[in-house]
Amino acid sequence: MESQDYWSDVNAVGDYYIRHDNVYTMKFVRHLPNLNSHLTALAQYGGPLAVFRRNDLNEESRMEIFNAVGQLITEFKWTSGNLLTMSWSSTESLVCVQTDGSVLIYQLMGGSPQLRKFYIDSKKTSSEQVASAKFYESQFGTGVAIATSTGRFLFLNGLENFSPKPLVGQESYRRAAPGCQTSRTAPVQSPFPAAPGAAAAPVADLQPARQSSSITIAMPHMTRLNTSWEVSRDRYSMPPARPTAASISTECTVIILPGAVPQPAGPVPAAWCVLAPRPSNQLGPDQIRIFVLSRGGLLLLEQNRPPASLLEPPPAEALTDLCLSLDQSLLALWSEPQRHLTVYSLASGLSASGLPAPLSRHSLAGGPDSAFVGGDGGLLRMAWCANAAVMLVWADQRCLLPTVRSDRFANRLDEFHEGEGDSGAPLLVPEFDGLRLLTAERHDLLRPLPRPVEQLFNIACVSPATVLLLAHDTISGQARTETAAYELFLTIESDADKLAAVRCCLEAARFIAWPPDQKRVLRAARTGLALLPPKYSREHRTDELCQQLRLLNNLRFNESIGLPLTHAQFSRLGLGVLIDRLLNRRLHEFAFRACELLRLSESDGQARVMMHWAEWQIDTLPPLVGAGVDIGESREDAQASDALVADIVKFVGQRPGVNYARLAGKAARLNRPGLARRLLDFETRSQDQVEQLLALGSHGKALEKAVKSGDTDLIQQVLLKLHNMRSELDLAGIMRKQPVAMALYQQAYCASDPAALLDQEDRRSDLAALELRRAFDATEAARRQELLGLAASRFTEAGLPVLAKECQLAAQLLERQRKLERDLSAQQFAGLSLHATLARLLGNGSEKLAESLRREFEVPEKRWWQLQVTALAKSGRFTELRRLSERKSPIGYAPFVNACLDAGNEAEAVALLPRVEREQRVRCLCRLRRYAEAIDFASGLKTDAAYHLEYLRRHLAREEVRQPGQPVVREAAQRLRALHQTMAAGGGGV
Amino acid sequence: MSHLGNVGRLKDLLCNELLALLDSLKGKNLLLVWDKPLMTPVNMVVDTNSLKQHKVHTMYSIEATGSIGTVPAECDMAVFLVRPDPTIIKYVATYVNDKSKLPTSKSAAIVFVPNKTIPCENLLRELKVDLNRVQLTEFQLDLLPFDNDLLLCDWPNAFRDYHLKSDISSLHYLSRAIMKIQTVFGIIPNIACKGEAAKRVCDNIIRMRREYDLEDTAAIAPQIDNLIIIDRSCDPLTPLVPQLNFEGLIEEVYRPKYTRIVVSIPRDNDVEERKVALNSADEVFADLRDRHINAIGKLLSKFARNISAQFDERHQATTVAELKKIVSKLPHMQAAKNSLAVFTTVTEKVKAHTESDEYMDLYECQHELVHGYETDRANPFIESLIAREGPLPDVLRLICIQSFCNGGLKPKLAQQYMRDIAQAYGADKLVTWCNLVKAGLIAEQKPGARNHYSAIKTTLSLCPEQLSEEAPADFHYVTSGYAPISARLVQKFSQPGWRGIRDALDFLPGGPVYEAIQKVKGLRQDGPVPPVYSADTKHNLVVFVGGATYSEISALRFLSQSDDFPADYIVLTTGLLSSQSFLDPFIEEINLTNLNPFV
Repeated sequence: MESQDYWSDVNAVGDYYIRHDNVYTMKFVRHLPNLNSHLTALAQYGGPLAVFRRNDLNEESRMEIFNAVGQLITEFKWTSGNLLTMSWSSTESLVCVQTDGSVLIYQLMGGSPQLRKFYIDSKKTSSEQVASAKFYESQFGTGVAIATSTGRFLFLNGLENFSPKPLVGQESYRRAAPGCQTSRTAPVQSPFPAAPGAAAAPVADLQPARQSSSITIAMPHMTRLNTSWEVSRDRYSMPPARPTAASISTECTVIILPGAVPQPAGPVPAAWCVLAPRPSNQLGPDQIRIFVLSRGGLLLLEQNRPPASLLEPPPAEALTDLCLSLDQSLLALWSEPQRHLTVYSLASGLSASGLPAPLSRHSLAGGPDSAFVGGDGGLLRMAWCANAAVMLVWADQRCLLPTVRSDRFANRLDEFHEGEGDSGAPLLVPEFDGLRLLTAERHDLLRPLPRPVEQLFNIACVSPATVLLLAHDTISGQARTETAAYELFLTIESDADKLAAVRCCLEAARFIAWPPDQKRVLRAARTGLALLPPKYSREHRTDELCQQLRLLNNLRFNESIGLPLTHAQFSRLGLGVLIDRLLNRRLHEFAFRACELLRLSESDGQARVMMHWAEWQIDTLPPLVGAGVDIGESREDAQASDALVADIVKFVGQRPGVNYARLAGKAARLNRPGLARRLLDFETRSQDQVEQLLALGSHGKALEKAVKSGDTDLIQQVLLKLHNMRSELDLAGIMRKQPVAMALYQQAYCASDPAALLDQEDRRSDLAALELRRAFDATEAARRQELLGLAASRFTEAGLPVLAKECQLAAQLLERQRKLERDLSAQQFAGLSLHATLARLLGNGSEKLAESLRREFEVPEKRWWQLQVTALAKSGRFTELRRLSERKSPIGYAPFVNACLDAGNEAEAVALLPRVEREQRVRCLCRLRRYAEAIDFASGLKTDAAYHLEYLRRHLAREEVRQPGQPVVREAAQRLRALHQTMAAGGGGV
Repeated sequence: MSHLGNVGRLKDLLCNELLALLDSLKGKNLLLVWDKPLMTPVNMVVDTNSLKQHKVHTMYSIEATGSIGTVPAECDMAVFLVRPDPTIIKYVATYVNDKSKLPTSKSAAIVFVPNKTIPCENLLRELKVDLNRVQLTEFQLDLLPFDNDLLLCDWPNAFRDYHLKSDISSLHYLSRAIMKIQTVFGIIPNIACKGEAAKRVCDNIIRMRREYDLEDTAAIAPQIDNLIIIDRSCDPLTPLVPQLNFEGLIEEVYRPKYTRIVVSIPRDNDVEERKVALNSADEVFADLRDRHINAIGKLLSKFARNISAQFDERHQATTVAELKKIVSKLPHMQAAKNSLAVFTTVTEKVKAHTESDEYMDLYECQHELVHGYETDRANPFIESLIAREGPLPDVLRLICIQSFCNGGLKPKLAQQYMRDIAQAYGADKLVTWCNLVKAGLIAEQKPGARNHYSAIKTTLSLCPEQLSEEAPADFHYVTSGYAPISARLVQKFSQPGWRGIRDALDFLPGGPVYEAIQKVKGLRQDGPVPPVYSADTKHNLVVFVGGATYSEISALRFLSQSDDFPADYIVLTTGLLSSQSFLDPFIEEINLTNLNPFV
């Protein structure tokens, strides 16, 4: 493809110029003479091709999956039921619909399919079958709709976002559940009998279908995973921050075509298509509409609404085909026998009254062009080419019809017949920027030229971009014609024009698929940038674009990958989704390099690739050698696990975005708990680690890790789980090593019985303290005494004899107190401390009793004296106090004075003053407010005079503040200050 | 002391978190219902005006008694700002379930401060709260910026809970608070910790960094050089010794709540009650806070003289320009005058406390004990205090001091004290005794064990000879004679490093010594990391697990002002302790049901 040729592959269709690129010459390994003789599905975005070879005489049915250039990716035997149709989902899973209503979802690389099911009511009409199926894209991913042979339409939204969570309280589900469960968890081989019709029997009687009203069969609730890439970077640009765990109801909706007769060969609609909820249209999340061609007219059906007839054709004519553009904004209708193509715009919304005026209308009947529309049979296929044109395909003919505003007519596209053999009519796959055509020989792409590219290459116009390209060609030409080039440049006058030219060239580089042409326009853009002020070259960085194009070229021309993406498609898809697709094909190394090339952040890029690789490694582990989980791992299995974990850790390592807990989860699902536990050791996020350990049933380890993390909330989480299954577990055993957890557990769950779990060797002292507390909670003396005894024995067990002894003494005291209560009626003792008991006895004059009690409890001498002094003074027994003071006091006599003063008996205090020893005398004098005496006494002391004087000074200062203006205090303070001054002058001592 | 000066950024971080949370709620007009104890702390980071700008329409508060009204018609959502406390949760649940209070058309949100807990969630479920209508979320108020150099991670009972209940919640939240600090000031390269709880915190933050993949934070140049984590159980002595610096004494006497106190100032014949916030914004207080109480009087009179001199200047002003200058200074002078009045009153009250006979007696006793005099034997003062049935907290405090300063009490002595207390105050006090033993505050000397206190005292020079209260040369002035161990550890960390005092560190109770290095991108990956923020001054974050006293904080401020080793300290603590409040949580008030129906 020489550069000058670029325009030669461009066709003018209506207002658009449509470029035709030959992407590949197909290289099928096995001979496929005509794709039309098989059931096929080609994916969008240059995705894979699935070919279903139906069983012939000597071979079984098989599914083959090729990449876009025809290299075999995988193949497998088809053992399920009668395959009706299939298609690729938005995440490149193969969705197969069987005539019995089963939907099988295969990963790109095969493996066991995920299973969904339409429950067709087969009892009422014995042979209701799926007549046709359509696939559609909604906000929730790929959905599938079926029309049954009895004229009912059923839908499943969000096919792949499947989590088996039942809708609680739905009677129908509960009855359906066993069937659902078995079919969902059924491994690999088909659980369905091959014979169509008999398949859906188990749930047939669930929902009586009421005529012309819609019914809903509850299907398992779908929960969208908020972590997957496919969600946040969906093709339909989902808002990235969706509420987590928001469950989307993806019920199976049923709409019944009115007037449908329940008979085996019912009025299957001629053609139909689905209007699915999108952010762009006004449909609610559960709302689905369908266009149906029925009896030659166009109907709009919707759940819970009467059908609306949108279009009734003239009597002799019938609508036979319809086609909705990818963005659902345009609807094309085909009618026979007049051969009209009419295009309607749905952009302004739909009303039940009818369609808006048609955008365009073409007739292929008669006229000069009728010659090539000679296909005998009906229309074979019909597809949109990026809203610019509609492609019509008959068995041997095809033509392209413009969409809008043009009378210029269709182009018959016969250049596809270049190949020798008859490869038949091409498969059509609409892309958002064009249309893909595939035959057994060629893979072609039709794309309308964007405006800038058209400007650049259109022979009929000279734009600044054309001049720039020409100038660039002149420089790079063989002759040294810089002058000519420079003169050419000069013809682009303003900076704005130069900039426009550069932008134009960059746009063209994005569009052009052929590397030499890409290079040419990119160089031209760079040359143009060089002529502009430097700020523009900063704004228009070409490096990133170059790297992206390099990646895309590699994807396309490396035939073992064979992923021909246009740059526009790549931009729409996003690098993340592209990486996912590479990972789906297990091209880990390539994906890794791509992340590196395009500088994707580590957690989004390389770490994700590594994770996928590791998951794949776990997936493809050879089956267990050992007998099973219960018996434990065999040695071989343990070794295999160890080796794998070592491999994973070596390659994957610890980097942001790597999640060992997820790998462990995978291993656990594959029934390899040993491997899962090993992997979990490398998880750094305690939350994930602990959750997984709990899921694995390693409760002790989970608790240990939670405690280690120091996160109390996490510990609580584990404890809650343990608490809920406490009957099955040895709680005490698990918690023995984790005092921290035990403490939390007791706080949370054992508030009523804190002693539970405490009965262990190292917690005996706590248990004893608990008993002690309980004893003092008792309201009855006898009970308290008993409990104190119990506490004593607990303390003995805990090896704390001293405390045990104290408890015994307390019990003994209680015993004595009760006796006292009996002896001295109308006096209460129980519950008092020993001191209080003695004081009460002394106050009563029961000195003898007090004395004996004091002996029994061995109250030391000094304390006994202090006790007597306080008690006697308090109870006003000053005679006894005087008598006591006559004996030699081990605590001195200051306490006597203080006690008298506390009791308000100043006279008694004064009387006792002479007995007070010298060190205490000043204090006592101060308390008696005899300041003059105190000063005299203090200054007369041989030793410690300074100390006592200082005490006096402080005391007086305080008194002055407390009771200002007291003459006694003021005078004393003055005297003291004078004394201090004389002392200071006299150099000390008096 | 710290001149990082960016503690305000922490406040903004927290403030924005709460406001963003309010913005994210789907209601357009919010009714904000306060759990009353949260009002002051939350108001420390977010003011009412900002709340009003972020959709808050009306505010209620949950009182101990009585119920709150219905949601006003203008509000379409009720937001409860609550602690994860069962009684409050029950209250909220009843409110939310009551259709007359919260009509079905309106929704609600419960914002847990500082954390949503699983037991609370369970409780809400048990109480049949419709969690589709009631949104649960949390506001991680992990630290309160008290001052430029003082941050609080509010867990007043952290020490008790950890030692008695093995409850590590406080450590988790403290670690989270440190992570928050690291998001603002960058990763702190050097970590040193002493004590088991400190080690746990250290492990937590290293693990959290790994878990969060803190790439962004690593991009911030580290502004703090060292993180020193000290477990309270390594130095239980300091909070037992009464503080004599001004701020410490205010803590002991007034027990401020979130730095706020109420002062009754006598005015003519009346008493004016004034709420005062204690922080460095107040010039007078900033100057007084770290001084010894005996130095306060002179300072106050100096202030008074200054102010009156300034006031007098106006008489000499002759030109308009001079007058204008004086007028512009007036508000400032007025503020100074006001705070002077406040702190004079405070000083009087505080002095009355320190100069009472009881206080002096206690001081003398503990002075002897801390100096290690005759700690082996029964202390006569303690004995007589028990005999007189003096205040039990004081008795226990002195016994704890004696226990620490003797490397544990002799078994016989412990037994004697225990019996004395049981006989004088009642046997139920044995529970308190058990608590103190379990927390390690009272220990029994093991047979043959040596008393290492004197070694510790010498190595860390806990009781230096020279003492000047007015112009101190060392920070032992904060308690008149005893230099807080923790502050000494911090000081020794800067010079000569903990390796130099290894023995003393090992002798101290509480658990292991551990030093770690956090790798920071773009810095040398081996060996201690050189100071990065400033060549001269090292910035340290000192974390007290289990609470700190103002005496320690003043000591650290003293250190940062001394010229020997330029260093700045920011303190993060789980609570502010005084000699009174430290032991309070251990003294278990057993609900002594009276066995006597007639009394």
